[in-house]
Amino acid sequence: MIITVIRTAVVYFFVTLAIRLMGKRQIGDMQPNELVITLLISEIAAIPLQDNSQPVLNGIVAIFILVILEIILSVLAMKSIKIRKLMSGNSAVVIKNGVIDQKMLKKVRLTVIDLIELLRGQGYFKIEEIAFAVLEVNGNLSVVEKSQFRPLQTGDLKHIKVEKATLPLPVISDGKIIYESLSSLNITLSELKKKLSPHLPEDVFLMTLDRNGEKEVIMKEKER
Amino acid sequence: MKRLIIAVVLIIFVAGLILTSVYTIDHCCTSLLDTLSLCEEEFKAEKNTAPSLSKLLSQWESYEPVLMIFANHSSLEEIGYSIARVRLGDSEDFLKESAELKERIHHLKISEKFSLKTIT
Repeated sequence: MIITVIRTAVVYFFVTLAIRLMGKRQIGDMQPNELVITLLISEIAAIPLQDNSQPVLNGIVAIFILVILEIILSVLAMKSIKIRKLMSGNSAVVIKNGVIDQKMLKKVRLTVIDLIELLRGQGYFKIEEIAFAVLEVNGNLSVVEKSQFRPLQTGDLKHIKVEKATLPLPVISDGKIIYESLSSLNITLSELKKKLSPHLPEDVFLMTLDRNGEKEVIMKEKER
Repeated sequence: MKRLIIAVVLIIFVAGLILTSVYTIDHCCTSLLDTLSLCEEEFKAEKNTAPSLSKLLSQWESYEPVLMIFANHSSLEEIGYSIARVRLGDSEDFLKESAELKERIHHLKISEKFSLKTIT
């Protein structure tokens, strides 16, 4: 039993390392080759866990080979459009100027019902509201509405002054000060404490701060 | 660039492991086969095979932990059982058991080598 525990811990470590080396993507956003590699890694990782007669090293080497292949192919795909097209394919414009491209739907093997479902998933219930719809290589549908159906944005109201967008950074997390965020925001510890006053950092569950000085503070719940 | 460097480091690491695996298995199997051949010659010449068989066992005991890192454990267990049968079995079956053991060791030796048979 102890053998299984140790092998599981070792395989877990190397699989995590492999996923970390391959970079961040959610399952739904992966390119086809990335999805293949993720599935293969999970299958390969299970083999030494299920069969103690298999050397753990065989599984680890196989995982590393997949990581190497993925890194090399992704670097090549970044450098070469041809290779990227070969590996990932092309996105397809399925609605153009409000008209469904039926030939393209056939080419990408998407039925009109599938298309409507994808549009509904994006919150569009009428095809007449859509100017363009692009089926991406990862299966997601990107939609551009017609101007008259687009939600109003602050940029449309030219006489209204809009503040520049800023990124709130977490500066306190579960009572601990995140010094990296303080240096990104160019704020000293004493300035932070001043903004937080009369509360103490140890009592804060989450505090975020942006460059405009806008803060958001959530206090820790008191234990009953 | 950083990821490419990581890929290169991993390639070197994996290549090192492959070479170590092939060399280790080849070296261990060759040593065992040589000792086993010596035992067979001594048996055919009606000499005392006990020292050679002891040497075979001690070689196996020193090689087995290292081979476990690279080779399938079931194959290694079978070789272990075969060695026990060769050492402790009847003299009538010695050559038969020895031939079987030779075959198992030889199979282990070629299993890690690059060939169409091993890949497919």
